[in-house]
Amino acid sequence: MTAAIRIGIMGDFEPIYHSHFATNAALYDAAAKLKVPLEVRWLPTPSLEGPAAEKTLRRWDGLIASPGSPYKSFIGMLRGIEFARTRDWPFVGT
Amino acid sequence: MKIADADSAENNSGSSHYVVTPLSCALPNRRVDGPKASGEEHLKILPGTLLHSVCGGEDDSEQYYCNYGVNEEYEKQFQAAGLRVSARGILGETRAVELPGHRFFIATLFQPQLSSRPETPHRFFLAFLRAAMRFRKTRSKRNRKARH
Repeated sequence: MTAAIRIGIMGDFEPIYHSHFATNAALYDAAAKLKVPLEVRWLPTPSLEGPAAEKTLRRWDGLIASPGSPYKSFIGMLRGIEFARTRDWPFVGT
Repeated sequence: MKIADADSAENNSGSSHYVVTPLSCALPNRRVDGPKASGEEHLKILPGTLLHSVCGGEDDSEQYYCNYGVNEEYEKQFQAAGLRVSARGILGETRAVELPGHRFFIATLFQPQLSSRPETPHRFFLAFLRAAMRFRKTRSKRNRKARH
C-alpha cells in the first residue's frame, strides 16, 4: 500500500472559517484525484514557537501557511515559514 | 530582507516597517459585508514562474478573502531578498510570490482552496501534493542510504 502523504497546516483552526474548511476539502479532493492516501494535521501557531517546533515540522512532507491572521502566535507562523524556506520543504501560503 | 522590525500593519506594533498593509483598492465584485478583497478577480500569472507551470497559463481568475496585502513600497526589497512576483492584479498589484531555486515555495494573496471543487480540485493543490510526494521519495531514499 502507498504510504500517506503527510501535510501539516500551520494555523489556528476555526471550524466556522470557511477558508479553513475549504483548505481541508481542497487537500482531500486533490489527494482523491491523485489516488493517494493523505494525512492532514493542523499545527497551532503557538506550538511552532519553541525549540521543539523543528521536530514537529520535520514530520510532514509539505507545509501550508493557512489563512486567518491575526494568528495566535505571529512568531510561530514566521518560524514555520522560515523552516520551510531555509530547509527547502514544499510550502504554500494562501 | 534583513529588516529587523518588519511587521504586518495588522499587528499594530508601532513598527516603522509595515511590509504588509491594508489593501488600497477593493475588488470590483466585493461581497456585501466581506473584506476588501473578497469575491473573484482576474489576474495575470507571469510566464517562466513555477505558478505559471502549475496553473498552465497566463490568464486566471481566483477567489479572495482578505483585507491586507504586500506593501508595494517594499517590492524592490522583497525582490532583492530573492522573492519573485509570480502573479499580478489588473493594476499590477502583487498577488503571488515564489522563491526561485526552492523546490516548491509559493505564497498567494488569493485562496485557491475557495474555488477548488470535489470533481475538479484546484491545480494549485494537485501540484503541491505532487511536490510533497516527490519530496517524500527523495527523503526516504536519503534515509535508507544513511542507515547503510
